[in-house]
Amino acid sequence: MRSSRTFTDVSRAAAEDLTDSALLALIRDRNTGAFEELYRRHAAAVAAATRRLCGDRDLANEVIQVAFMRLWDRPHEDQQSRIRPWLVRVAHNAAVDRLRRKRLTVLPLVEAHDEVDESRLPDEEIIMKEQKRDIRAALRALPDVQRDVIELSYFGGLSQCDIAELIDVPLGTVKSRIRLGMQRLRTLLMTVGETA
Amino acid sequence: MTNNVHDDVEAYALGALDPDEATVFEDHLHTCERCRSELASFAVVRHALDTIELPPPMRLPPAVGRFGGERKFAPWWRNLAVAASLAIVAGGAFAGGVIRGHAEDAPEVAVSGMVAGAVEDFRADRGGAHLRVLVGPHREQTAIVLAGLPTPSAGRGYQVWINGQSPGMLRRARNGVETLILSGDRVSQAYRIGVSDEPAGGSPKRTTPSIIAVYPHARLAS
Repeated sequence: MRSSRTFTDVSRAAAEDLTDSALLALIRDRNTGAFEELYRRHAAAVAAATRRLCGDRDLANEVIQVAFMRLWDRPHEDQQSRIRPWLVRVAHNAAVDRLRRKRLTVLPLVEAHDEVDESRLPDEEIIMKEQKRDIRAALRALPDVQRDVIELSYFGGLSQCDIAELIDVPLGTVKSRIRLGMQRLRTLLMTVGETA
Repeated sequence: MTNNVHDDVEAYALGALDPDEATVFEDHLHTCERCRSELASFAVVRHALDTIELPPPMRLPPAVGRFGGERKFAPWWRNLAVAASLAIVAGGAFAGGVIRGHAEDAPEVAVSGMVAGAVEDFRADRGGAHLRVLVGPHREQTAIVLAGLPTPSAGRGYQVWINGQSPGMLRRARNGVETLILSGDRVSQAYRIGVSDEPAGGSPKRTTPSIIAVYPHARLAS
């Protein structure tokens, strides 16, 4: 069980072993090691949840930094139990605000970068790459509105209610988009499985 | 707007229900074969989403500090088996499936013995967490093993849920791997085995979203 004493800095190994709530408490004490760990845990997922809205990498980087800098500046806000959804909301709102000011349309999606696990055997690696290609293709085949809600939920950790509030659409609309999107993904992935 | 609980299958499979909604849906699953079958059909989607690897984090906001690079995660079950093998070589006798040593390592070592002879083996990966559910030889034991999560906060622990009911809490070993070993085959009738963060000692109902889960029924049904 962790003690509650304050660290002036926390080692990386120690930070990895702490919950988000514990790290947030350390950030209130201006602990940069704790902040780095939260960034390491959540930045990629927040980017994935907002990437289609952002469209280009520069805007994605910018809104990620807005969200984390706000976390650093105001760690007392109600982020306690669900830091990732909170970060996604801040990043999403920042993106909407910037796009509205620039009057930009959403650009084609930037492909996710895959890390290759070099410890896998070559044939396993080929199969894994093919599986990743299949799900990415299936996601791209969804209507944008269905893909958005699925990515916000899966990567951003948001519930249906959270998403409805975030993108300002009725809850019933979000539910319908999730239902239809998941059904379409199932059809696409099972079709791929049959032809493999 | 009235909610038809049958319409929550997709959201539940995605993990998009609030904890209260998820509990209601899990209660419903006990009595609805149609929804259980439908849920099992979405395991292919969950599995596919779980294979997506996120891009590495971008640079840290400069006002705070330097970013130190991405952590690699080794296949932890290999380390488990190696550690158990070394324990055997180091002079502990192997009797009844438990190697003599530190009592808190007993579940870890028992699991390593099950890995080689497992008759069922289900895995899931999500956000750095790795869940593995094994049914041992002769289906006499089921092991639920979780790695990659931080130590629970004070007064909290990781609780296992099988079809919405809980057989108990995971127990943390010295190396950070969390384990729960149950008697019998707990997989053959399971459509969902998941883990959530709950009060220490357990909760009668899940109070937080599921952290990670496996869906055995889809594979068993195919």
